Amino acid sequence: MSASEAERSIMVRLRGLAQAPSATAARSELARIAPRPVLSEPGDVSATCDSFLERAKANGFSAEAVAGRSEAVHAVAAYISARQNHRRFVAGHDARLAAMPWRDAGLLPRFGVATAEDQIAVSYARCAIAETGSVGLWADRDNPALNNLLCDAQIILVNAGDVRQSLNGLWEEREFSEAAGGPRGIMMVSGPSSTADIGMQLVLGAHGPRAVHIILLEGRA
Amino acid sequence: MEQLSRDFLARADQALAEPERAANREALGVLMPELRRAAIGALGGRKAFEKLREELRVVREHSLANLAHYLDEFMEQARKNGSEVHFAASAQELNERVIELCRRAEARRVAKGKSMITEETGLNAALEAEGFAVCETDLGEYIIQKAGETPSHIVGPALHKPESEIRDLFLAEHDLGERELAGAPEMVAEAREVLREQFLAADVGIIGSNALIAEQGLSMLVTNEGNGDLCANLPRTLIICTSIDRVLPRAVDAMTMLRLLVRSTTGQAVSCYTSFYGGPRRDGDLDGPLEVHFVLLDNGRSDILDSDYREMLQCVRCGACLNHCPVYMSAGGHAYGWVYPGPMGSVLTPLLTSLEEAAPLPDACTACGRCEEVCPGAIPLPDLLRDLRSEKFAAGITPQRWRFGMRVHAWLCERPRLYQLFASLAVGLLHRFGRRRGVISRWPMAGGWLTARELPVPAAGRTFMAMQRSARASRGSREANQ
Repeated sequence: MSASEAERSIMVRLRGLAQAPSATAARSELARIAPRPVLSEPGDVSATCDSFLERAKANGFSAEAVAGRSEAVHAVAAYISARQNHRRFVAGHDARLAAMPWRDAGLLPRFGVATAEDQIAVSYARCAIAETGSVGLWADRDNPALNNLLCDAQIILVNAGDVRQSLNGLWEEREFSEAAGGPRGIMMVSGPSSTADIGMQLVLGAHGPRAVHIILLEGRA
Repeated sequence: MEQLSRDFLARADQALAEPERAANREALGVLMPELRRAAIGALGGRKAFEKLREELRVVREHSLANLAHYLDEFMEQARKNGSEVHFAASAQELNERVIELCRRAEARRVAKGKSMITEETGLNAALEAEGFAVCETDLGEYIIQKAGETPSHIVGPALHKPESEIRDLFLAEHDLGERELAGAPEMVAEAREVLREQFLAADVGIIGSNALIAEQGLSMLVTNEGNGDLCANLPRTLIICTSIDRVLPRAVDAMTMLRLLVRSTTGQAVSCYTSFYGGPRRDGDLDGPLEVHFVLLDNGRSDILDSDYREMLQCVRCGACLNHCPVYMSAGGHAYGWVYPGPMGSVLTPLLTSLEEAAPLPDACTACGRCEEVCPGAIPLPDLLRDLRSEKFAAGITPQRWRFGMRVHAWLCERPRLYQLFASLAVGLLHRFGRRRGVISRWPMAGGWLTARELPVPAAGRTFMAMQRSARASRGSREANQ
């Protein structure tokens, strides 16, 4: 059977089994039996950030909160200095990363996509999730997905104003089409890459970063 | 994948004779229930778990009841995102579609993430037969691919491999000179290095999907290693193989599923990577695949949807039922003889293949009910297994001597006095022969049952009914005396 014949025959059968007479009727039924939850509930930003940092650390991230961009740059420099003897790292073309005062801390960013030779990547998350201690990273022209995967270590910056309480907050921006300027994907990262496939022993750095450092920018001057 | 489910008992015997391969499984049987309990506790306890799984059950039931509508919506959105969607009615068709797509991509090397669907269709063998070099990249899958074995657990495929076997395997398979590979961290580091080359050289990446989201045309993938994301973002073509029943209406429904899935799978609140793939690289993107294809497999699922077993389609493939099943813990995953082991496999295998080929599996259950209790999809697994046993009996698949025994039992059950008489005779005999040792370790026609266990002797030498009767009589006389 060709792909189109398979599609036709499977869909004909499934249409015969469908309970609702139309897609609109199915959607109305869904809204009745499982109303769409509120995506972001208003809450105490400081408490939400504390909760995010606590859970992020429990997930195996290292994490710190800083007042603003200048402090963030120095925090990045301190982390990089502790891991390697040069001050180079790779970062995407995200405008927020481009606007950071890297030179103030003597850092040398290369803007682009990570390669297997890069040791540390710095990324800027679109949001963070307090419920799970995760960060939401868009995969788009300014934020290459490989920057979250190929390096030995990753530093992820996130604004306190972008910390959302629950997983549902990940979906505040719901449009993924290219026409609407949406990302081609989202990576929700909740800890360093890990595996327990050998002897059920947890080992970090299975394929992705062995260490991930979160810097929460509180937005104070 | 060749199906060997008919040999369940012989394969279970073989597993029992290999205690070193059961060590991880036994540890899992102790550890996972504890981790899951802690994760559910952190979620808010049993009530919160029940509430969440009811939410998921309602949405999944609705999605399955309206699968055509949500698949239509998914296809429309996925195509809008620039992906192509293909259907496959059978396992062979899925393999043909993927081979066709690999040829179209002029591929030679394929990097694969873990996918039970492609285990079901035997995709690796089909690709290799066509000359493609396939490399599994999930560490567990990589280990068993190198060892030429099959998965023994749907989440931890290499669970049966002791560390020493993996060390020997790596030393033999990786041409990296003299080295010690002292422990798991060193072996993981070596696999990382070897597999990184595979990712970088791959022309096509093939991954599975935990859920399809109709509203946005996305696929959700949950991993801890990050290999799925490398397969999805490094090669120039991405193929996502999944089944038609994976579709959920909205992203928030996927979040409900995620909350239950990860806690039930590994006892974590969330896995390290939860990724949503929306389509190929866009204008200006510096990475990502140039083409994204979804291949959606039916292979009997629309038949299940149209049957009394449709609740089985609520399975989220978390493996919790395996981790809590005394039969799986004893027999191991390979005993089940096909892709899906444990309670979910004992239901799914006969439905996806045939009751004849999977005849022993519905009996591979003690009816303890733990699988249903922990199932995030609230699937009544013991009920479904019982229904399959009835079907097996009705179809004459159950062996003749079992059928005879069951008929005798049914005949006796319909005659309670006679049943009680036989029961008291049996209890009396057991008591007489075993009272000195307190246990019975040999009994005519019960050799199989007593090989690995002893039967406690009924202490009073009387049946439960007889004891109840005397208790009632003495209570009556006490009350009369008062």
